[in-house]
Amino acid sequence: MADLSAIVGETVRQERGRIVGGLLRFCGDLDAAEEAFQDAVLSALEAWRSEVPENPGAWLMRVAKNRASDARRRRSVAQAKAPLLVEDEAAPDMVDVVTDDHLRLVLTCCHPELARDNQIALTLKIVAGFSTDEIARAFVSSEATVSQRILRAKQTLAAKKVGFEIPAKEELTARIGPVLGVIYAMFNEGHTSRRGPLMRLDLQAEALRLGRLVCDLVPREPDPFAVVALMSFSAARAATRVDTEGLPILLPAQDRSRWDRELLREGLVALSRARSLGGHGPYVLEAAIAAVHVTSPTWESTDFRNIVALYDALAAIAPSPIVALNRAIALAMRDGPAAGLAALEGLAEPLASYHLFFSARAELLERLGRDPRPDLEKALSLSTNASERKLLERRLGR
Amino acid sequence: MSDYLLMVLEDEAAHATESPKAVAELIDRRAKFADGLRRTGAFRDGGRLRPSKEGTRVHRARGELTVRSGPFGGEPRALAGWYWVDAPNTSEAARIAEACPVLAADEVQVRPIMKGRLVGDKDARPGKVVACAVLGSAPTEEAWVHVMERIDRANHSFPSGVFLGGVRLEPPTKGARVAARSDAPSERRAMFDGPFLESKEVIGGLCFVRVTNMEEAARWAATTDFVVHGTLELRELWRT
Repeated sequence: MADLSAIVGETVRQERGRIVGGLLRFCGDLDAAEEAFQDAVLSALEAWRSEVPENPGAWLMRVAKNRASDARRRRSVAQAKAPLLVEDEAAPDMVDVVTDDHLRLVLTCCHPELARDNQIALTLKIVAGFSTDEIARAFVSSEATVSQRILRAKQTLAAKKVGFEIPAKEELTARIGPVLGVIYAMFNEGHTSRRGPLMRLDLQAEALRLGRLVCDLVPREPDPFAVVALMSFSAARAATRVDTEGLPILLPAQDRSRWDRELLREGLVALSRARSLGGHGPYVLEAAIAAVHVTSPTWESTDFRNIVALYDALAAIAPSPIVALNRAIALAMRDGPAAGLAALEGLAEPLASYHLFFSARAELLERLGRDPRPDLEKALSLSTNASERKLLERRLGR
Repeated sequence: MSDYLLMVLEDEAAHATESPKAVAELIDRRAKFADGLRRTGAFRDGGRLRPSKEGTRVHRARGELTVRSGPFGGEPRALAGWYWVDAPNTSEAARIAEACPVLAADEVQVRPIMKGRLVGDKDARPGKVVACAVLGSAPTEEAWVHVMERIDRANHSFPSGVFLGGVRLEPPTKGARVAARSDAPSERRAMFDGPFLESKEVIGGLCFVRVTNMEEAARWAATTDFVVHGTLELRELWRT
């Protein structure tokens, strides 16, 4: 027989979201739902020793439901008489109930009343099942800070009397926004951590998994597919983003033959889906830009005309200094470094604390035969990522 | 007019080595192909499956249930997608198949549909849609009656749409096979002279279920008669 804790672990990984989501509907309280789920997992470690049930997820749900019901009976005799709302969640005819439960949980953890960092901590804890310690490591933070964040998030949900119902179509679209924000922030934290090594692949993998989940939960919304496309394109390049010494390799110098073809395909299919659903928001445009890059055989042959046009469209609906910076870099490739430099005018102030602005400007100055050193120094003083710092130091000839 | 199923059988190894640019172009050309079919009114249904290595096969022999994960090997090409079209006859259906954008190593099988029931917008609702390909040289009539009854019952009792229809196919000898010409690989030609020796696993039909995960689909599959007479290959639908 396979290792019991591995079987339980796998079941927990697969079923956690839907079961905790179902319990949330039943208990109306995140802590009680989580506690009942944990109790059921502990029981499974004991009970499955003799025989693993045919449908482990349904078993967990049933036991957790009983635990929650016991706990509720202890709290209030009157409430215990209320009929059990949760049926056997694993029966195939319950797809709508199960997906609703899962969605409810994700929406709750990413509730707009919560601060972004607290949303992420809560989502990793409750939806993904990370331990406090794992979350702390992922964010190079202390366990105490993470526990505090989760506690604060739960208190906020309780204080604001946040309902667990799933909003109707229009509001649902609005509520998906923060969920995608959480997922994408999680992915980006994995992409370039504020501290520690350049990439944290576990965070990236989890963000991608959550993104795919949201696609399954709201299959007619274009943005989740666009976010999955963006993340797939980025994840496909992960192995080529650092050299053997752990220094970053930028897009122009990456070995394109080593990009993950399957992830690229996944991204291309997801982007095509987002577009056919009528998506035309910032995520779709960003994914479209990434798609131009990843489908180009070389950096030099990249269709920068198209990329500049896509950045123009992006700047029109979601203007930001970062978008302007990226547009300027593409413009420099299309029309030469002088044009790029001109487009950077006026960005020095809004991006005064953004190291990539100075390293980009240094690059253009260098191509124009001018002195890049002051900008490289400035970038170095602003960057907190060790690998990026090393690269800048190398460019400074240190 | 009659109903035909065009099954796109892809050489997955060839697709894995295609350049990202070519992959993007193929996705685009397929979308245009489907749009074209919609314009002429020939399109009834269609979709794409996730790679076979993510699939599951369920089979029951002498009471013993076997559940196997992909890749499955054995066949040079794997079912990657389908188009259900309306055409006057097999030759016309084969002509449509010839226009379907594929790689040189891929094939399109054209099979008349014996019986079918369709539920549109399979991917409109939450959950995963899993395609169940019925593999087996001779799935019995009873197995089909059984599943069609299930589908009927499901449609009546579960408006939520868990069972999403299916088709039973005529044998390959009544269909056609569209492959690259050996003398001119860029051109494709329909061949009507089955049986198709290359294929050891004949697909007898295709049906769809909406579930929350693959394990659930496998549990459902295990309860059907198909797994006694043949094998059910479960493949998640790729939302395209």
